[in-house]
Amino acid sequence: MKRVLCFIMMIVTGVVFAGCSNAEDAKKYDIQKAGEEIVSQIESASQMTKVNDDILTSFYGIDTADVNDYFALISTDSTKQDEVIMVEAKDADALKRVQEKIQTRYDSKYAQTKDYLPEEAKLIEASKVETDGNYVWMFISADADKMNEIFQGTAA
Amino acid sequence: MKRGLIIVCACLLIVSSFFSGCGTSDTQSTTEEVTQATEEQTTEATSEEVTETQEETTEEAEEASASEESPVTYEYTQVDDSYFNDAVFIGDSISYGFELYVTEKRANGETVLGEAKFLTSGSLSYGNSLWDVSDESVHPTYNGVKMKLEDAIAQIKPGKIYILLGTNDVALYGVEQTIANADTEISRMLEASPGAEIFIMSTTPKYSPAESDVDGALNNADIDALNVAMRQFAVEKGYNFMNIAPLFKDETGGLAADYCSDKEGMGIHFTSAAYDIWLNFLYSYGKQQ
Repeated sequence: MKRVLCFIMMIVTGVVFAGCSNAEDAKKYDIQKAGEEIVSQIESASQMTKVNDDILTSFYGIDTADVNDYFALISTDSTKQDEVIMVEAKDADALKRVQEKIQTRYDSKYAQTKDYLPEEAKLIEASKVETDGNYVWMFISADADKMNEIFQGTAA
Repeated sequence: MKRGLIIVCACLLIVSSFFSGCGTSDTQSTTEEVTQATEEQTTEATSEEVTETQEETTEEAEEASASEESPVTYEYTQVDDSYFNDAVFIGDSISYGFELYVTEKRANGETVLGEAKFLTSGSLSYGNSLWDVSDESVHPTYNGVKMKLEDAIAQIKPGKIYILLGTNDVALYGVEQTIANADTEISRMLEASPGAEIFIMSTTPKYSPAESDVDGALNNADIDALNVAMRQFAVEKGYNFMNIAPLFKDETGGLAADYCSDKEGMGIHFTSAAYDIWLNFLYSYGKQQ
């Protein structure tokens, strides 16, 4: 009887600690640090315009009420499709809405450029909208790998 | 005696011939004078008619010239930012560049074009604006949702709609069909926002060295033809026409090098210098209320 009880206690304890570990595994990214490093280390990014709340709304349609934190850059050259956006959504539901808006932006950029700016369309094709927990991001750039490396480097 | 008579008769004949000749000459002269007078009268009348016609033509030409030289088809005045609070700017990648230009200034704290909104999209045309929305369509997004122009207009309810399209139309559809497509799309937008003022801007030129002889490629001759037709269409429909194209042309009639940001590419997109000119034009040619 004691052995059975001990076995059950071990199982329950293991389950409890497993749950705690999953919660602690969720990464946290330092979006502002990533943005500052991207701008300082990548020349193309340093020439882009930093997105503010008005631009976040008008260009992406993202409701700032869904956002805990964000950092984004857009190119001011209409023939260049470079774009950077990193967002921490407030919760899982907000993440879905923000992700959908960024995906729509991505799809629209591709549809608009595939015929008249094929080289820029290739950059878009090579990128994608990614998520991890409540974070969503997109890097459209010839330096996208470097940007992603910087972003991932802020994970804790 | 006989000889004398003969001589007298001969003399009489000679004299009579002489005088008949004079008479004839006079007659001829008279006839000629009459004819000449008639001709002169006719010529004068014709000349007067010609002169009048020439004057009318000159006047018409001057009027036409004046109207062609006039950059807009309405009474205009200098305006400030508040004028644009109810405006929306619709266009293709050229206008998207303008949107980015304005956005950057606003992000730096400048007040530019009031609260004007933008519905711009690369590759947008009068033609494809009529399509249904799909993954492949190039309708602009509004509030993060891709939608037809008229649906966005229904949400925005602007008082002024500025349109710069045609670059992605004329080579594909020709002048006549482009005008027809414009007519349809503008009508749809006005159904969505009745009473909105329509401002059609002339299609901007292409950098001449970037022109191609390939049939169907965009060229300045077609753009100019479209703009002439578009102006007439606007006047007939009661829309406002803004002839911005000459602002950016060089001596060849193409987009000036200083205003072209993609001389090695399509040759149609603008530099900041060009957008500066466009912006000043908008403030200078507001419609008198």
